[in-house]
Amino acid sequence: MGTGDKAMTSSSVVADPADSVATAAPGAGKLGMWTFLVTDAMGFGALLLGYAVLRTRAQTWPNPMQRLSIPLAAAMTFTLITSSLTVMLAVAALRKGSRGLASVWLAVTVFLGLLFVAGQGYEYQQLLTGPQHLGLSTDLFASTFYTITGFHGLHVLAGVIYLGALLILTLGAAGKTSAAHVEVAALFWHFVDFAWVAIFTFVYLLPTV
Amino acid sequence: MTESPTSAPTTTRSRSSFIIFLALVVLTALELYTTGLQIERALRITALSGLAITKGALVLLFFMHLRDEPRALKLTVLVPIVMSVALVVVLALDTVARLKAAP
Repeated sequence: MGTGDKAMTSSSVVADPADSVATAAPGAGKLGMWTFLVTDAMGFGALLLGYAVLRTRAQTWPNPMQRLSIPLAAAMTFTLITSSLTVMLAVAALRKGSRGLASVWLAVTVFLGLLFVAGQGYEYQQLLTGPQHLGLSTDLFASTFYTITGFHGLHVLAGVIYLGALLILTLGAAGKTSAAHVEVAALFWHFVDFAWVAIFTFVYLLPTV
Repeated sequence: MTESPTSAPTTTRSRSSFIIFLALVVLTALELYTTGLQIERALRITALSGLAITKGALVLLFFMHLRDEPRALKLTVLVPIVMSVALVVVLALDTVARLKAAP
């Protein structure tokens, strides 16, 4: 690398603050998203805390592992973790200037998000029409389960729409997205993954006996 | 020079993302394994909670890059977390006290 290359490198980095690494001051979009996520986390926290209190104070509580399909939930977890990786690969591709590759990774992320929503739909259908006939008002377990997982499912759907819109913009001739735009969307998507980590453990896996 | 100026940190980030992804998969497998273990309930709850906290921390620090952010942003995120934990502790103590007081 010659002196000219070095000069070009440093000027390119300075000239493109949107793609600056995270140690620099966060942009308005990132800061706004973090602020939103902190408040959103309070919502999830309140729901999980309410669930914990109701579960502890209830005379009896059904074993979630007997009512819910753990293999399905594990597959959904794997889907969400994988989608967190693919959205990061989309950001990395955009940083390298590869818009085509970024589109592929964004499309994979959207597909995985839709797969998660489909898995949740299948789970609900099995619970509602299966031998348990577990409706929203069947008991406290059902009410809290549908509320928490439904709230999370809406977040996944919102994330799919958000990333889908960015995918369309990336595919567009004008190429209106930058790595910074997708990075802000990725923050939301990782948060959805973060919330599911808690839900999977505390709603699906914690034993009652 | 064909490489973009940001490709070196980007490659490092992609590599660490793969490692974190694998760690999350392994931790999830460990969680599923733990549910099948014939151990005391309290021990199982502690193990599952520990695994979940580790997974959450990995997502927060590495996928969401919180560890690379400026201190002000870290505090913006961490202060509500500390307050939430305090709330959980207070509520848990209250619940235990009420359960003990119940006839």
